[in-house]
Amino acid sequence: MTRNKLNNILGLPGIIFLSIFFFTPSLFIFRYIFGSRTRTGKTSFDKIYFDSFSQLLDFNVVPIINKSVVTAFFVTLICFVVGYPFAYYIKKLSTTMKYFSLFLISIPFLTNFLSRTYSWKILVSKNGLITKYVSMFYDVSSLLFTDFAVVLGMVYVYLPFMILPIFTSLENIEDSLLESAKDLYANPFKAFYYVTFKLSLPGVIAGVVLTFIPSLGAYIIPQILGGSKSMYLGNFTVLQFIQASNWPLGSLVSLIILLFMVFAINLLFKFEGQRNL
Amino acid sequence: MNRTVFLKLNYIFVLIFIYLPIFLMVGLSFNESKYFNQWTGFTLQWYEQLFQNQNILNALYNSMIVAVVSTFLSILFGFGIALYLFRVKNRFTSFVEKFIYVPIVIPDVTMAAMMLVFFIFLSNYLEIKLGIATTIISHTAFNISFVTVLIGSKLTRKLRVLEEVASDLYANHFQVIKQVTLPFVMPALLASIILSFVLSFDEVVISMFVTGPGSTTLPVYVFSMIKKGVTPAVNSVSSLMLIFSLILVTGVLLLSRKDNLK
Repeated sequence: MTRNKLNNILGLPGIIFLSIFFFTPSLFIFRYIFGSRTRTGKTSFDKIYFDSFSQLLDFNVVPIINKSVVTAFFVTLICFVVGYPFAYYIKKLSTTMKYFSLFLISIPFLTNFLSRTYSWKILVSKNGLITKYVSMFYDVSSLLFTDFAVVLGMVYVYLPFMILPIFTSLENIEDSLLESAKDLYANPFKAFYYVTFKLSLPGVIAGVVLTFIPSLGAYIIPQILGGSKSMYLGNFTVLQFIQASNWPLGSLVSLIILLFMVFAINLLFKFEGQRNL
Repeated sequence: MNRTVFLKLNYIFVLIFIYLPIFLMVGLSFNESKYFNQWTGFTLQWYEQLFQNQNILNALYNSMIVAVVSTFLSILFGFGIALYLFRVKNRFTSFVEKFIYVPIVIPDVTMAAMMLVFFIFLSNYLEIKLGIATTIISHTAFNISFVTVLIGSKLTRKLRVLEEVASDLYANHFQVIKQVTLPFVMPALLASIILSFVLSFDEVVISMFVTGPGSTTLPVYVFSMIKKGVTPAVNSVSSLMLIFSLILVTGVLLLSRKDNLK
């Protein structure tokens, strides 16, 4: 009996902290959405307003959502096309090389995001390495502040998010399955598609979600590589809070980003569930 | 044959793609020339200037305080929640088990926005100012989950058996925690200390929203420098931040590797 009480007390401080400083703040977002920006930049709450919803149209938020989704789509696609063969290759390496490669991929997964984005800025700015290469084919002086730079920068930062889950699911496939496919006269392509690829799908979906979501709400990368003129969902939200003082609209857009995330994660669980059946 | 060549080329290409910009940046931070397209000689002057820049030193000091205090709090709260979820199974804990992932997956812009509106709303009624304290609270709010998940993944059936054996041998509750549970989760505990320190130390967007004047953290300050352009000062401070987190993250990876081999 006392043991049970002790166990409950262990979790209590953390749960109380999260209820006050995480759960409650998330409710405040909903209150702010129905507020209204006054002339001084403060938010008024004296009644329920729907200003933020009508401003979605007035401020042309829909094209921004479109642009963000298209960008996140291309980032995810490129990450998949490059990341899947990479994960497939390191699965076949010797144990030492495999762990070393995994180590090399995991490091940027966790290290300073800001510095890595900045290091990419050096490459695409005027006279940068990539700019020089591209300018041999196209007439450009600087790739900085283009959508191209934003997409490549996101691929650069989020690629490990695609590779790691794909690798994990590839690693769990038993070799005997591939052998039996061969014994049953499947050609290498068929064996790959019906065994390897299909069984690695959960990892692919996890990778897709893990790259799509942060690309969709990204703020730092568009700000550094896209400049202040190119608008994505992330920096549009920050703009509403920091400069425009339009907190109701900012709250609504940040909720939209969150809804995209919830939708994507549900999709993930759905696939996981199907696999377990 | 062709397929193997393609796979190998892709492998090399990805590794170059990931590491080239980093090496280039670190290399440039030792370049004497102000311009990054020419190499005129090796120098440490940009680093020396960095350590004379009072703004950077203040920001570094703030970052350190925020990272240390929020790490301490997150370990305290997160470890507690992990043990609670491990030992108690009911409807409430299965809800907490799912909810604990939300601070990890929530987009940083959304979390930044909700922390800001929360603190500003409270400041209408309480004496609250945006500053170090609000930054520490916000960092703790997302770090707790990382600690709980990381430590929770190591609280396995094996530990349960060990704990039962210990209490069969008349160890009391505190002896069980001290002599069985703690040594068992030690590698994961160390890893989560480093991880929450790194996550707090690298955080930009949330800090940017909830810091006040004078309490700017290092990444927020560096971010404002980066927006202005590519300069030797940014090269050196970014390289330092990167190398610092690189060392710590390598520590986390080695710890979790050791843990898996055990």
